[in-house]
Amino acid sequence: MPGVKERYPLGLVVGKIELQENEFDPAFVLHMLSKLNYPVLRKAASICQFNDLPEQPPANPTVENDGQFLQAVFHAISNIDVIEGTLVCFESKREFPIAGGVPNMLVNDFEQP
Amino acid sequence: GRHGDRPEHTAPPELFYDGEESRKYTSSSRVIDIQRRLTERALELLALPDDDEPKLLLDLGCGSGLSGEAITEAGHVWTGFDISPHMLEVAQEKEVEGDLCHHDLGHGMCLRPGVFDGAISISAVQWLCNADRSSHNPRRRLKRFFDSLYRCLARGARAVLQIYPETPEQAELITTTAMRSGFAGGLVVDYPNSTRAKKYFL
Repeated sequence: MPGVKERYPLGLVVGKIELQENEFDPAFVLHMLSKLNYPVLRKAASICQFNDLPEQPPANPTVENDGQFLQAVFHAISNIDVIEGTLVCFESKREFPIAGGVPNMLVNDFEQP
Repeated sequence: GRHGDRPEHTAPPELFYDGEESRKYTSSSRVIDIQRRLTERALELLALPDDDEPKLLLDLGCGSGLSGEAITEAGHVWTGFDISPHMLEVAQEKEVEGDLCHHDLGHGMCLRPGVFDGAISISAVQWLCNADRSSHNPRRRLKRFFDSLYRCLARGARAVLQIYPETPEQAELITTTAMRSGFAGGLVVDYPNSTRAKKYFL
């Protein structure tokens, strides 16, 4: 959208959550950790009432030593499902509704640069 | 007529795939079989490392989740984008494993850089060549799509897009735009000698 510099992260408002019970895959979690913005994940998880993620993640987490940490990350990324809510652009205040677990990111054509 | 003509000539995808068309499309065993085989071929061309570890993939134009289910079966995790609310509703009802996002690919996907291990698209990208509204410019839509796709892929990651180009010029436009956005590669044509079976993978 034109003029918006800070597009990430979006704010999250939660209306309804569902918790899934997916099979823990530690290797996948390690793979995802290298992609994630951890502070944003932690903030989003806490908005979803999940506060088990430590403020500082371990420096080089391993499956052997950091099982509990990896399980917490797994829970946040795979089990917490936001069913109803809103994503909000901090800068423009534009809201993107989430319904049935699907965010609607459509913008109008005139909003495109 | 509606059935003999290309769907792209009938209406924009979010209108063509209305409730009835979405269900008809997604319950046809012929369509299911074709989409599955196209997805498996696209995954093959994606050439992901054979290490039994799930990768994070994009499914662009995921529709009702036919391709997504094949990605899940191949052991990967996916995020799907589609513009049709009816197709997405079918995917939600099927409780597909992937995460779904309602979005217009022609606006570009606002994803963080370097995150995805690969991307596939089955029978979708040619829709970007339409100018369904006066505000649409196909060249600009294709550019936004490919720029944003290039950016969100990890280093060395590939995109495999199965398309139904209407004309050679359309295939050329799609391919050229991809190259301008930084992609290397080209068009793979399966069954080039069969009009019916011919398939294009960019």
